[in-house]
Amino acid sequence: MTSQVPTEVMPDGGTRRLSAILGSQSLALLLVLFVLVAFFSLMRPDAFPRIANILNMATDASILLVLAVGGTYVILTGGIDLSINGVLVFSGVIAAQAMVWTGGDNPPTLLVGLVFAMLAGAAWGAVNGFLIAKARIPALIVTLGTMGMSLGSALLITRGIDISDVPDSLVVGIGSGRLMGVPVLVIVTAVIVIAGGLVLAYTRFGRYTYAVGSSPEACRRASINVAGHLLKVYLLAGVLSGVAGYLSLARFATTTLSGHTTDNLQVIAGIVIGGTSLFGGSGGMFGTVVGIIIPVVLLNGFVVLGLPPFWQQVAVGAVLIGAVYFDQLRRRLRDR
Amino acid sequence: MSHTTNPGAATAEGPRQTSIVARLGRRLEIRMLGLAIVLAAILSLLSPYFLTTSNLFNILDQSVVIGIVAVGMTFVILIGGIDLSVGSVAGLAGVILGLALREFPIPVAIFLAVATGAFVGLISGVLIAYFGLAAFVVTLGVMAIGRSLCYILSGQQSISDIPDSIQAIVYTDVLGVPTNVIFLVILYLVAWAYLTRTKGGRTIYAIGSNAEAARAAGLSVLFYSVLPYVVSGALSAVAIIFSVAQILSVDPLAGTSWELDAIAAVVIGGASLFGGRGTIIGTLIGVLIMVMIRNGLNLMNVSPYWQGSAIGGIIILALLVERLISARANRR
Repeated sequence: MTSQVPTEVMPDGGTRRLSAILGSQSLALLLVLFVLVAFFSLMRPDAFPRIANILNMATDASILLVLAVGGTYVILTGGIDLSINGVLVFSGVIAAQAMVWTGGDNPPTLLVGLVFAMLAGAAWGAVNGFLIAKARIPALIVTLGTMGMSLGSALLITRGIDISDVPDSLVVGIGSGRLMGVPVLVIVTAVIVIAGGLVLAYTRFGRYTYAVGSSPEACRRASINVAGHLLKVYLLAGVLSGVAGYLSLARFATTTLSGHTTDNLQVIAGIVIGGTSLFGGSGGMFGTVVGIIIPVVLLNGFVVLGLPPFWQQVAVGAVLIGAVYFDQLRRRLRDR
Repeated sequence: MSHTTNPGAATAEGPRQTSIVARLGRRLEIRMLGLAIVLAAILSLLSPYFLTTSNLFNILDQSVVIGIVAVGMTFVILIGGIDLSVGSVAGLAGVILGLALREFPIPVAIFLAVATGAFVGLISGVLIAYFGLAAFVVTLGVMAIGRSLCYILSGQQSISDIPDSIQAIVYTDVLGVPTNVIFLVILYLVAWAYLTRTKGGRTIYAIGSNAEAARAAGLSVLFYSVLPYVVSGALSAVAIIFSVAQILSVDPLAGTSWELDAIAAVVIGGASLFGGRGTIIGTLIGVLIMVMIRNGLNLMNVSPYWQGSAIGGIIILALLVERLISARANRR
């Protein structure tokens, strides 16, 4: 048992980094994505492969991607975070409330909103991290509980009525704003995803994340502070959920109390489609990006083709199960 | 490297004898029962209506649907799996029931609904046990597929032309007790007897504790790994039938988030998500705790927005207290 651990956790730098960036099954996935794009483009060359439509899809994927960056770290440690949608809504409410109190419609107000959103997310991340890492309660149960608590708190604060008093400059500047033709939301998301991917692939923090997921026992013996690292990972997921809440506020100009109920499962499905193992220790950010984008492309393509959007869920479910089946086959072949 | 019957507990406690593990398990249930009693005492102090006969029947009535789903979930969690699809499967079975009632008599429609649930469970079970795919992912996929089939089959509308006569399966009183409560009691007795008194039940525990050892011991691991998912699917269908019989309508969104309530109830009842540990009595206590919290909050006119926070908080608190107590017990 102990002999296999070092090779699993820390293979030689080059291949490890390459596989961390590319992920194990992401090339096949990229192929799936290309086939989908080619198919929809051939079916509706007038509507699907348009710049406007592509930017549309990128915008649709952006908030999910921000959540998925944190989610990838969490799942790589072998944990799970179901609370991200509740934390997203809660952070959005806190940010909106903070901006209402500050008043005004200028950059400092927007900054106050962002800081409060991140603090709100960090608070829930700290609760999750403490209960999972220190009290050692299963992550599924902790985050199931904090999902109910964060969503419930958001409803309590707002009394169930969405706060739509959002500064115009936030909605116009970030929500629907563009920089050289590219939506600001997409640029912000791209920066977060790239930073998240680089940290995961090239820093000690990223390496520890893989190591903790591969074998917490081996990490403990290598005197890595496992509980401390888990705490940081859940904190990161919380902060990113806060950022996502802020972006959602900017995009929809309201707190969307009931608009994110399935975000957590969509994000987990995307991460798993992207080849990150729910048992932790293997996967990567590139796969996550492709895994989140495939369902978005499917939905968009179905709408463009005029198919009922409900079939998208059938397709996503099938892709999800197909992806794990493929992963299983690959593992079996490798182990042979 | 001897195979103990309970590796989860064994790693937590070091090499000890099974009898101590069993005694700890028994004490866990007792602790949760204690929590339920304390909760009931607090609620009856806070609200004079809590401890009335009609409200106690109310609590039982409200326990039926989630209680039925939780039995299937207990089976699944005992083998170390998880079933996120129960809510969608229930919704799908409900839609099938509603559509079938337009064409067929009630018993046939009920059979079709339960068969649908069992069939979906069979698919999940085979994908998980035979193809070796992760239960979380497979049932997540089935959850998405099931929910969209609800929309597609129902035409995105509630089905409300349910014949009134179906209410008989809920509201027929036997010695003053409604049939749905009687069904719940019988279901728990049967499930308890199956899990504790039969070879199948012991095989389920064995698989959850150590599937490899169970295989080496010649138990039919594949069959008993698929069975819990079939039971879970079928019972989700049964649960929605009782719910439909009460409200005489099926919504394509019916059953949403049942999986979370059921998992929470099973885990509050002391089952381990790693499998092999948990009891049907514990699950019943978990269900009652969840329903009592909801009922009590409603009686006290607490805003429904508190419910998510309260239930989430109590689940985490229960496990935290449990963890602290068992850590102390283990140190001794």
